Amino acid sequence: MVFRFQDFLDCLRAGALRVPDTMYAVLITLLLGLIFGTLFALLLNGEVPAVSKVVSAVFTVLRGIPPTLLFIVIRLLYSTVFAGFIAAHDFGFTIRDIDIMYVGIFSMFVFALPIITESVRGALLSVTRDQYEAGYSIGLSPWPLFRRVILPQMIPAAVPVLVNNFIILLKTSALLFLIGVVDIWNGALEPAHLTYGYFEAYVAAAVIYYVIFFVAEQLGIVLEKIFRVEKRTAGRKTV
Amino acid sequence: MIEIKHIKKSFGNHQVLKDVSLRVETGDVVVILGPSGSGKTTFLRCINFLEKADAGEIIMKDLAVDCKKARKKEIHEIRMRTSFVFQNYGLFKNMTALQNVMEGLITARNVPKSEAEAKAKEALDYVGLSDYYDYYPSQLSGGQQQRVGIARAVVLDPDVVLMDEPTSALDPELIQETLNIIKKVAERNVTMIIVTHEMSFARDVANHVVFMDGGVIVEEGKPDDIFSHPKEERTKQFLRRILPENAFLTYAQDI
Repeated sequence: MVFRFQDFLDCLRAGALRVPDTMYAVLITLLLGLIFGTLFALLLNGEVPAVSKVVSAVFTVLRGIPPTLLFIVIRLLYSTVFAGFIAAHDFGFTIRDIDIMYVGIFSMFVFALPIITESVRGALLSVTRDQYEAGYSIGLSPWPLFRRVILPQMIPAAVPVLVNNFIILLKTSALLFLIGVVDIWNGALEPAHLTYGYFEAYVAAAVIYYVIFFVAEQLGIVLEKIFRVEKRTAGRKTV
Repeated sequence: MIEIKHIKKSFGNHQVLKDVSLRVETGDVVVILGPSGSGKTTFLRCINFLEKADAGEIIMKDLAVDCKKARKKEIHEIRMRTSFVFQNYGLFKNMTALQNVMEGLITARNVPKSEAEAKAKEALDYVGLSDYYDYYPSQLSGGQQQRVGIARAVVLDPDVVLMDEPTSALDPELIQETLNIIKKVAERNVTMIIVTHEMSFARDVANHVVFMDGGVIVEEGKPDDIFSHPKEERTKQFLRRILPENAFLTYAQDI
C-alpha cells in the first residue's frame, strides 16, 4: 500500500480552499438555528398547547428525514417551483443571479432546526423552578428574568451538546454537493478524480475536519469555564 | 395594611385551602404554625401568586385583586409590593451575593446602579455578610445563603415580607443566627408573615400567631394566648406534641 504524499498535499490544499465557504454555511446555520431554536424551545416548553403540538409534530417528521433526501428535495423544489415563480414574475433578476449558497444554508437550517431546538430545550429544562419563583418574587418580568437569570444558566448546560451539534452539522455539510455547493469533503476529493488517489483524499479531508473539531472542542471548554459558576474557587473561605 | 380574604385552593381533587382569611396591620409580625399539610405554605404562596388561588381577594392599600380573575398587571403590582424568603434560599445561581441583592432594584425597579449597589451593600452588612459581597451562592453555606435571601427581600422595602420556613433547611447550629437576623429585621418595624416551626422564635418575635390545620385557620391571637391558653382542641393537641412543657400546662388547666 503506497501513500502518495504529494497527492495528499494537493488534496489537503484543495479541501482547505473550501473551508471558508463550508464554515460560513455551518456557522450561519448554527446561529440561525440557535435563535429560532431558542424561540421554539420556549414555545414547546411554555403553555401554548395547540401551537406546541403542531410544531412538535412537524419537527418529529422533519427529524426522521435523511439529510440526503431532504437536500435533494429542497434542490428539486428550488429548481422547479421556485425557479418557475421567479420566471413568472418580473423581479428584476433571474434564478441564475441568486447565489446557490443560500439554498445550501436553507437546507442545512431545515435539517438542523429540530436538532438544535431539542438541545436548547434540554438546557432550558435544566434550570430549576426555584430560579423562576425567586425572579417573580422580586418583581422581575418574564423577559428580563429570562435574559439575566435563565439564559446565563442555560449556556453551560447547552455548550457540550451544541459543540456536538456543530460537529454533526460539519459532517452533514458534505451533502451540500447535492445542491451545488462545494464543501471541504468534495473539495478535497477533486484532485483524486484525476489521480484516483482517493485514499490520500480521504485522509486529507479527515485531517482538515479533525483540526476544526479540535478547535471547536477547545472553544467549548473555554465557554463552559466562563459561564459555569459552580466550580469557581475565587474568594472562597473555609466555613 | 394587608387583607387576605377567603382564599380557596385545590390541587386536583385535594382541597388544600378551604377558606382562609387574614388581616395584617403594618408592622405586624405574623407567625403561621401548623402541622405539615395544613396549607400554611400554600397560603403564603397564594399571597404573591406563586400559586394561583381558586378564589379569594388580596387587598393592599389602594390595590384590590381578585385571585381568580387577576390580570398580569395586578399580579405584577402585588409582587412589586411584597417579597419572599424561600425555604431553599432561592438565590440566583449565576450571580454573586451582591448582584442577587441588587437585582430587584436594578432590573425590576429601575434604580440606578450606584444607588442599588450602595443599598445592597448596606443590606448585606446588616445581615453580617460584609466580607461576602462577591461570593457565589455555591460558595456560601446554607445559613449565609439564607441571609442573602433575607437581605434581598428586605432591600426592596416591601409592604410585607413573606417567609416560608426560613430555617427549615438549615443545620441546627445555623438556625439561631438566622433567627436573630429575622428578629433584627422585625425590630425595624417591617411587616412580616412567617411560616415556621420555631416555637420559641414565634413566642419571642411575633405579635400575632395563627394556627392552621386542614386548610383552615383553627385559632389565632397573641402569642401568649395561643401558647399558654389555647382554646381549640386541635391547637392544644398540636402544642402538646410540639412543646412538651406545654403538655404540663394544658394538663394542669384541664384539672
